[in-house]
Amino acid sequence: MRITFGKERAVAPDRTVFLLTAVGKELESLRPYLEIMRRQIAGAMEVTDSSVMGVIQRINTVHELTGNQVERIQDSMETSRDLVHVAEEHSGHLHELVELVRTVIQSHLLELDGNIQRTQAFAEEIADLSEIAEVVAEIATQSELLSVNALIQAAQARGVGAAFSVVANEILKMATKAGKAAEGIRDRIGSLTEKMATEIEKLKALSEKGQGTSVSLNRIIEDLQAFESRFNASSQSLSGTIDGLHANNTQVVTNLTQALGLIQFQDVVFQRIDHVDKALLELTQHSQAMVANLADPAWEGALKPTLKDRMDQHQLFYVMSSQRDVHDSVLNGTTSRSHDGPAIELF
Amino acid sequence: MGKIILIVDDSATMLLSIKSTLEINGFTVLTAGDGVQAMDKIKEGARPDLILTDINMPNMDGLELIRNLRKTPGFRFTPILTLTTESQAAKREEAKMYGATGWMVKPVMGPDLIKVIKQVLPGA
Repeated sequence: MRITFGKERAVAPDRTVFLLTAVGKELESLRPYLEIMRRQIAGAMEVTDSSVMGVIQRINTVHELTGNQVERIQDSMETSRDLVHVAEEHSGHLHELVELVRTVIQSHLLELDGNIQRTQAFAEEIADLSEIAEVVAEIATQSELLSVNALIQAAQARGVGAAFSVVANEILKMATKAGKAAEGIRDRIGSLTEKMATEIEKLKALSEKGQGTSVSLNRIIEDLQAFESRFNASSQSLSGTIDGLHANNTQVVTNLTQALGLIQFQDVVFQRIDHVDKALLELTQHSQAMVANLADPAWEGALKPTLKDRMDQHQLFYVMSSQRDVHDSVLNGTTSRSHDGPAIELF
Repeated sequence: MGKIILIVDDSATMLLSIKSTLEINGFTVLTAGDGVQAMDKIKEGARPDLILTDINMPNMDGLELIRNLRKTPGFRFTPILTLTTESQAAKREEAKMYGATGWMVKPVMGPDLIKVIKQVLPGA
């Protein structure tokens, strides 16, 4: 009996049995050996899979949290916008009201000033009347003196001056009345002038008070304008912050999208590992067939399918050009990548 | 609600990752583990605006799914994109013949995927 292992050489029958037994034992150990490898690979794939799932879930959580944050900020922005709107509206109304009050007060102040001036002019005219009363009083006094003098002259003239004495008497009475009337007028003018002065003082005090109120209203308007200005600045700042947050959120989404896209590499890796796993199974089956045949005295020394047949069959199972590249480069020293189409193609 | 996309892939990890990618970009997503599940969803009344399918899947592969969808009323013009590790030119040609809208080989970067989807899905 002559057995052939690779390079042809003659081996003694006893030696052959010994070698066949040894090879059989080795091939028996190959089955658990390959099974261990397959299970190691399966375990690694399982761990990778669960880890990747964990990463995706974390990514989703990150996105959810940032999304919630943006939503909250948007809600806050809406509220702030409403607040700004209401504040602007109220501020506008208040501004209008204060402006109106200020205009009314200024109008009244102008009128008041006019009244003061007119009253002062009136008081001056009354004061002028006082001078006229003085002249009347003076005339009355002189008339009185003249009539007394005329009475004396009439008395000296006796009968001739009797009629003249009557006239002088009447003139004396008139002068006395005129003097009293002039005195009364002077007293009344004096009293009136005093009252007018008091009223003018009151009007002046009112005018000063009105001026003070007008100044206060001006301050209120200035404060309102400053408030509006600060409010607008804060509102713009808030708006800028929101825009910045939106831009950041867009970047977060882009980065998460990129990270999730990278996870597709796992599918690529799994395809290749899956093929290796199937090949290890084939190798197990092949080695078991060899073990079975070694014990068969009728075996002619050739396995069907051969290992080369199995390798050639792999060409049908490859899905990726990278798998075909490895196969071709090992067996033929060439690659097939140049035949692939573009990674993305729209028909 | 955003445009509805049906993803078909036999890998749970891929389904989750692509679903997340699309959802964070504003799409509403339906998922199916193979062609049979996808057709069941359609029969139950799902009306996706776009279908994104793997090619190599058990029960019903992506090519058969495309062929069946094109025969289904209401899906003659629905965009169907493939997202697969498969790179054989023959299968790509087959998909084109059955009426696929486009062919993408994994890995496709997330932003590129969104760009292609927006290109074939007006108003997205």
